Amino acid sequence: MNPYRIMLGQTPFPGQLRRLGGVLALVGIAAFIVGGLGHPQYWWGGYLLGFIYAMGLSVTLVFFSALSYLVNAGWVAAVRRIPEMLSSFVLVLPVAALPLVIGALTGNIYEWMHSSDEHLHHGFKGLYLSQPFFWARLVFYAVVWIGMHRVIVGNSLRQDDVTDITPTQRNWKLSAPFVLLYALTITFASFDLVMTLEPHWFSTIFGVYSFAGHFVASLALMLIVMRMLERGGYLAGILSREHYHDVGKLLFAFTIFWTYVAFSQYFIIWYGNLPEETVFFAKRLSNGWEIFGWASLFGHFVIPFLFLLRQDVKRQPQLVTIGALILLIAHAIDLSWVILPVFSAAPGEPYQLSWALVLTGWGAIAAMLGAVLIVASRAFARHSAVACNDPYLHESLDYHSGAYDPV
Amino acid sequence: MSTTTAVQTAHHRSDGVRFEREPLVLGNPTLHDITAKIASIAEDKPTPKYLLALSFTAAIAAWGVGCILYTILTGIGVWGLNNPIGWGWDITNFVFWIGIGHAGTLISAILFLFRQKWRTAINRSAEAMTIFAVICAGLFPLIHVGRIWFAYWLIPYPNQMQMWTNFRSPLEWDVFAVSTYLTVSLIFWFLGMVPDLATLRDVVKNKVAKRLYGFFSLGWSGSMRHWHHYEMAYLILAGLSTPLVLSVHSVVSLDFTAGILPGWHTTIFPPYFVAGAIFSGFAMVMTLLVITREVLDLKELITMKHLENMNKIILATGMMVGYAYAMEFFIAQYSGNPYEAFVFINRATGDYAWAYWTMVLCNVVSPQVFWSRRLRRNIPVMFIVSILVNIGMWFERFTIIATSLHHDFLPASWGYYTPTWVEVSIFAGTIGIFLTLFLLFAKYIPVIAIAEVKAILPDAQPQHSHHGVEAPSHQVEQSTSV
Repeated sequence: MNPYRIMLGQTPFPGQLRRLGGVLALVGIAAFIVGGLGHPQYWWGGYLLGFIYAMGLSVTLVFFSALSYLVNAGWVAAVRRIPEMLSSFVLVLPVAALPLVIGALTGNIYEWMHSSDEHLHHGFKGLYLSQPFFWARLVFYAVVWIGMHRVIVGNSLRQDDVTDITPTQRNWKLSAPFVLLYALTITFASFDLVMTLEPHWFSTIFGVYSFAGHFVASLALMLIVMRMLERGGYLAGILSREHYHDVGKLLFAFTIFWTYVAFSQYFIIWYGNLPEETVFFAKRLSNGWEIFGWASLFGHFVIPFLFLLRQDVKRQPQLVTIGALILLIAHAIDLSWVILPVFSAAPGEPYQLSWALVLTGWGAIAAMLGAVLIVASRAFARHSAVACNDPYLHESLDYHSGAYDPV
Repeated sequence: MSTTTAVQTAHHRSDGVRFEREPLVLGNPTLHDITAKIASIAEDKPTPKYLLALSFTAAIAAWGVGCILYTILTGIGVWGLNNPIGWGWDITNFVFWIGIGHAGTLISAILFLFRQKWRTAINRSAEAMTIFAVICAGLFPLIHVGRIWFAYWLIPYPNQMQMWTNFRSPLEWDVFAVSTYLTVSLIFWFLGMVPDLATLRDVVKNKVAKRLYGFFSLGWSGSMRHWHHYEMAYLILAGLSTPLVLSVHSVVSLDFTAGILPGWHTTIFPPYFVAGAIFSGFAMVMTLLVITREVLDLKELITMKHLENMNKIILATGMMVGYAYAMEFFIAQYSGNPYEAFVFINRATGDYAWAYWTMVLCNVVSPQVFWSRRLRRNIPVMFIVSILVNIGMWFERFTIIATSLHHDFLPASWGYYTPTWVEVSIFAGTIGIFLTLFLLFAKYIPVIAIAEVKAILPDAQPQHSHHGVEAPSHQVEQSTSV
């Protein structure tokens, strides 16, 4: 019997995760409903925000697994199953997207779909922003992402039950094209679903910016669930401080990466000062929305940077989890800043901060995050919580950095 | 994919499947073998072949320096620059050389933080290339300022003329970014070399050489205390160098993006330039290491595994660069801005289409051969691809600079630029300088980080002693005990 096969089906863990998800979902739905009363467009905007949050997170968690196969990472084998379980929401993305389809078709989300602006309907832009092409692209993303989940996570799960490494070898091969496809789909999905909210505005780095945010949030969620599992005593002897340290280092590094990318976008547009570009930031740095800009700067960079800089913080499970929580919230702030202002005013009017809109959007995020956890709890109930036959598991378990832990 | 070789075997144990990685040092050398091997390179008398190669590269360097002097004495007019193209080969070469310097810091800093043990065999030479490349890069802006005797005005200092540098200019940011990069890279390179210099000090017979190595090894005795401080300093410098890998080329990219010219002003430039820099840097490391490991017989230390890993990075960064080309092109069309759209159509079909397609073929198409494991491990293939990437990355910078300048908003001021023999000679001269410095390095400085390679030998691994004991990341072996 493989000692690393940890089946949580009979333990309280899946139930705990489901209850946590349920509470989040109920509170979220209540906030979502209350926030949008009197302003139906808040519901559409809020739902889009919640959807992007959960979509980015779950797809990027599959990407994390694929990436670790691609680079032959040894350290990750002991914890890789956690992101894989959490990514199960990818399979229900098409269902979660249905309200958006309705919102878009009824003309409540994307201005370009019903705008009579000549500029949006001719040339390459007209071609790209045509409804049949738009819907075809969304279907393509869904097919790629579900396929990626089935192949990468599927092979990882199959490895649990066999004694040769064929499933892992398949992932070594297939992770490369999937990482490539992920890069393209997450870029164009962020263009299609978010950037076209303001159809005249454009930024070449927008795909990288979206990716950086999703990746930080994915690592943060992974750390939080690692901590939950550890607190329950389910991964005793498997999870060590080295794993927290490693994920914490990645979290720290990609927090800086996000800042670098977000700053590149901001700085180049600010310095160039071309009206067609600056409008994006000008509208988001006035009428109250600047609070979110500043909150992004502090919540997504200054505070986590200073907090996670120290080695001993990254090695302390409780502390590094606090850092992860800050970043999970900061990701919500960042996405809110990009998405919500568009829904805060009638078309053509200047954006105006509305806390009711923020409540709606954050309600949707909480509800979607709850759904992510509920779907993940089913996966945790069925499969081993550790990739018990992973050929690199011994490296992940045996590694000691030599760092000194006083506590 | 990578399971066909005999050295990589998956075997089954009671608690699961276990996969052993390919060894990074072949032939089971002892600690002494490695010291002897690397020290012998510095100890042996230079061969006639080496002297011939050195005099050849030095001649090219001298020719380039002559042309630099000619430019300075005559004026920038001897170059082909004119309206509307005021930046040509000079800035292209500057960006090209800065880019070459990026592999060294990535390998020495980022791969160190990522615990990539395969970096040990290649970091020393890659870091050396970083420093030599930055030296070559720094020449171009200095010459291009025209009156080089006033180049010190680039440095802000209080003066009686009340003259200050323009802190709002990205060119000024370059001065800070590049000089910081050179300083930190140099310190990092030197610090990592101290234990090895001490090893050479203890091994060489020549009295002058012994003195010199002794001077630069700073009294290193290999004591536990020395190693402890050394490792702490190394880790901190790795942490400090990591943001520099991103910052230098990002600042270089701002030279372009801060100008609001179509084709230059786009938000993806900073990460795009960084990816391109790492891409070209690895290509240059590959070109030179393929030759070095052959000539110095280092095949057991710089193994096929090292070359394969570098080829994977070339493939990955090549595709990042391809992604950036695609984003630029796509957004230019999507933007609906006719000037943006025109610049990119013009790149692909206009006067400089030949340069654009050279760039695409070399940078995006040629690395695709590395999808095949067989070709990733094929010396002639990787050598040719690395040369192509070097050429392609030069053309990338040329395409960006020339195409955006030669056709701007007013058709009346359109033009075309060709370099003169002076510009070509100066570029050739910097290649000569770079190769001369590299040849000197390969002969007189330990080309491989001796102490670090010893640390990845099987004997140095914790599981070979008793389980659970932490081993320092560097083998604690006194350099005097060879």
